Amino acid sequence: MSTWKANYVGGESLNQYNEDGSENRYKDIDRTKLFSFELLNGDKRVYVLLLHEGQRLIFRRRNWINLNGKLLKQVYLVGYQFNDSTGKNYQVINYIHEDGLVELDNDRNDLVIHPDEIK
Amino acid sequence: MPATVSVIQRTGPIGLPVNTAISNLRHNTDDTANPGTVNPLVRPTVGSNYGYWKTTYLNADTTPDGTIDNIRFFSDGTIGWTGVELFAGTDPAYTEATGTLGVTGNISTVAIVDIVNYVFATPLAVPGSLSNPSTGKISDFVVLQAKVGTGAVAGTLPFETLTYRYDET
Repeated sequence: MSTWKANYVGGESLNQYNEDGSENRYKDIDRTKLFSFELLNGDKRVYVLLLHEGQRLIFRRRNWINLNGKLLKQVYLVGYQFNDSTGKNYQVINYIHEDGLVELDNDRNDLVIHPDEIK
Repeated sequence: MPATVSVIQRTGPIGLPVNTAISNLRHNTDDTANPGTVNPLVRPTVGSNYGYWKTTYLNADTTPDGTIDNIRFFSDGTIGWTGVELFAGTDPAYTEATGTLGVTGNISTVAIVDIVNYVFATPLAVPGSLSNPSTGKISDFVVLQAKVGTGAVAGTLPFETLTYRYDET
């Protein structure tokens, strides 16, 4: 997969790349009216996240490189975060690997790198 | 487009540093990047010798779409260099590597943790981030230093892979 598409309530959408080749960035996504978020491999949809009220999109690429700068591995992180009634934040993220493996987990933003992330 | 990210080694004096993309970070006893086989590590007859510390950082050659952050650094947990240990640490500031050329480096006050302790489960957290439209240095410096004991084996040591991990939006 290499590109994303954001679909809005009302039927409009925003592709990562416009027809003229220009690029929209993650911050260009209007998350206040986001209905779903897709990852595409060419024209084929390979992942769809549906968002509901109170859920805010998370999207990032996690990269591993060696000292020579060679990209060893890349994982797409797609999910959402929300706050409960006390304000506590929760993050639900799919870790989508190049080989098709998908893991569902929390933010993993502590120091721990999951073993599957270095395979 | 995702940013093009490279790993840079900084050498030279603080006032006139040289930043070089790493092609082969070889631990030796001078302050140069990609040094080849000149000024190799020297096995001591007693005690320990050191390599000159090597100062590296993550660099964005092109700007990211959003932000690069959440940087980690780790080894595979083993360094297969008989009699040679490798130490690591982070530093927000650059300090030129010094020592006795061709003999031993001075001991780093930054690279003080054996790198075998920094593995995927317990990586080294590296401060730093960079956001669009900036390019250039992303992270604090990761400083590496080899410590050579009397049991070191002569000759070229095997390659070891050290890994940076980062997130990009």
